[in-house]
Amino acid sequence: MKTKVKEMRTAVKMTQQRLADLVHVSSRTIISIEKEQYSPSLMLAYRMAQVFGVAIEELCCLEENKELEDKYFENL
Amino acid sequence: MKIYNKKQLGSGLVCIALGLLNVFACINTGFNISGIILVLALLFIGGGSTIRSFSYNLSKEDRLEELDERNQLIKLKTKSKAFRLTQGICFGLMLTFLVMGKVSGENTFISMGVGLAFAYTVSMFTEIITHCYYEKHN
Repeated sequence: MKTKVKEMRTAVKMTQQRLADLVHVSSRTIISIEKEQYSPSLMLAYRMAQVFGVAIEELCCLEENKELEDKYFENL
Repeated sequence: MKIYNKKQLGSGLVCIALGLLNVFACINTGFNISGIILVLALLFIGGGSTIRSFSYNLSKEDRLEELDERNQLIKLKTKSKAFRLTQGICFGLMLTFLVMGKVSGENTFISMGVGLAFAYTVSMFTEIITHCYYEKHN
């Protein structure tokens, strides 16, 4: 899933380890989220959104991801 | 000294006990390279786990790793894939042995095929029961 985690993290000059510590996950999880290899759970997305002071919708590009998913379901 | 991770302490002590048992076994039967490597690995892993269970920071680190949602997903996917692969291998070997037994008329192959068929059936039933459980509880 596409997210703005890397963009927002680098904007506030935060390390992956620091973000991982703040949201209680391993740094590998943050790396995977940034590489779009892993979709965070609702609670993890909420925790990260709180860290950056934004809404989940914005952090996780929910509108964009929904459109992609809609297209996928249309093509089934 | 306070124990922060009892589960890890338990597994560490079991490893150390196994390592020590292997030392005694090696004393009786004689030392060889594989035995020495096994003893060292068991003592190293056991010692490490035991030390970690007494440290607050290290235990917290281990607990976080254990609770990490990605790690849990990987563990789940790994177990699921391993089960599917084992089922496939079991089925393939069962067919091979049964065909070999039929062609050669050798009872050993038939027995091995039947044994694998039993294992495959058990795995199928386990899967069905597990599926029913999670359908009900999730």
